[in-house]
Amino acid sequence: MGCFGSKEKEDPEKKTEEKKYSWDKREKIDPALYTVENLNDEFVIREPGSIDGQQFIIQNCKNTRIYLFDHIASITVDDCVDCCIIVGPVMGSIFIRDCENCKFIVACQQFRTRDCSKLDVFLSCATQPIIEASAKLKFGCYQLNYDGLKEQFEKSQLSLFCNNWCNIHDFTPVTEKSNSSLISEECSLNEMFPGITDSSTSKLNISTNRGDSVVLVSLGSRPKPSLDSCFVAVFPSNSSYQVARNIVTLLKDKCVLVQIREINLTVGDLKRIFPNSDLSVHHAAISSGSVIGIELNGDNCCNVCTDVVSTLPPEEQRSIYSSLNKDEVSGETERFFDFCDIQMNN
Amino acid sequence: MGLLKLLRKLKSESNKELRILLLGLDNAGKTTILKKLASEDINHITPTQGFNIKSVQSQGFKLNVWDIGGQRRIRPYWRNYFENTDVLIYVVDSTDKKRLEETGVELEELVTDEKLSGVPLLVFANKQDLLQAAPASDIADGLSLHTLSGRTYQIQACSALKGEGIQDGLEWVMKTVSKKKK
Repeated sequence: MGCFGSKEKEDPEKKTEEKKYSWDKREKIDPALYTVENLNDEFVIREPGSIDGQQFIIQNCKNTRIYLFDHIASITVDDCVDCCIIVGPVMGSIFIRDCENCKFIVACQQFRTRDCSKLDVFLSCATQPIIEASAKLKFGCYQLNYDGLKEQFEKSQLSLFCNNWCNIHDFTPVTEKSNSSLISEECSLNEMFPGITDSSTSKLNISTNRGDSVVLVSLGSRPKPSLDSCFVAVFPSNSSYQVARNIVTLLKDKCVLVQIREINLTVGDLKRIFPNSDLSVHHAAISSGSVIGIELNGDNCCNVCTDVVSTLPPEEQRSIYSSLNKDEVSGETERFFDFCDIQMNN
Repeated sequence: MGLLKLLRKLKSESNKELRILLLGLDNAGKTTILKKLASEDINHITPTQGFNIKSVQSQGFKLNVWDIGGQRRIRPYWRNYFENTDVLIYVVDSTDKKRLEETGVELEELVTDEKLSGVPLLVFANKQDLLQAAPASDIADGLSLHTLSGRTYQIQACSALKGEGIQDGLEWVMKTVSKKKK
């Protein structure tokens, strides 16, 4: 206790003031370069490299298209009406406040709204999206690609396989009707975001096609088309991203992707999630990366999956597990995705 | 004699437990600070729906840190956690100019609550790593900290993401508390 007493004589305030932090030493940047505000009927495009992971602010715009094709530290969007906004991968949070009748395409770690109405959001969100005092919100799965987008996800430390776009938490639920619903799957992004693929952006090779999207488009909470589902796990290898994509792409006419997640698992976790399958051949691999779990749905799904997996190169096949048995599918799917949810909220 | 002294010392150390309340608006970075204090991964943090609690050891003290969700709808529940608080840590998003007034109003409510009277206050002016961050002195003005009377307080610039300033804030907490407990 004596040592505490002896320190009392120092002046703590003075000492703290003298200390230099990284923000005291950095170069001064003009915040106006990273702000879009007070625009009416305009079209703003920010190309890759023009924001480069800085914070961004959008405020007080009306009937304006703001397309930010770069990665961002965090962003607030305030007091906008009738706007179309595309936001590149956000490492932290996007916080939308006091906005009305706006459309968004965004990938982020955290998605938050307050005091908004009538938003359409195509979303990829690494954690559970939250809304407060907001009504008439519609959500759909993120669906976008352009040159360098995958690298921007990596720079933002966002996984391409952790998307909770339809799992919304509402802090202010109302009894009559849900404040959030789903965007119709027939919606055309090219129509909703005018000019997204026109000549001014052609050199970025922007695509809004489902099949091209860097984040795989998932069914989420929409009704499943069939009673048959299948669970596939891709174990870590240098090509696991591509293997997972290939499986979903090869199956696209026969099965829909319900959900997909990646997560680090221990041998113990693996045994709990797959109690009836011997996965010991994968024990060595799981320490080197994350396991990608895929839930697919479609008639005769398990057989269709097995057939597709058998067409892949042998070294890829060795990193894949798919439920052979219908009885195992629901348990494995439930345990895998429950485990992901628990880890996410830890 | 030596053994008795040692036992007494051990006993008094085991009693050195502090209840710390971490409050602030939603999106201020409370959970990131909590996880940073506990040396946990801060890459994926879900917006807090209820509360988080962690116990952290610091300078022989056991700190029980309560991090309570900050959405407007759930702020009325903050007061359920006031009882027996040793230190209040109030977190401000230094980049959120739109809500500086709102966060000031909430802090005013806290410091005028009887249950928190005399409780030392540490304000973290968080997110200093971001380019739109206001300096801690502006945050102090915005919150009218100079009008606080009868309370020990400190404002500390920090970036929970970069891990800067957090330890400095915590050191102030430890100093203040050990002074008080003497």
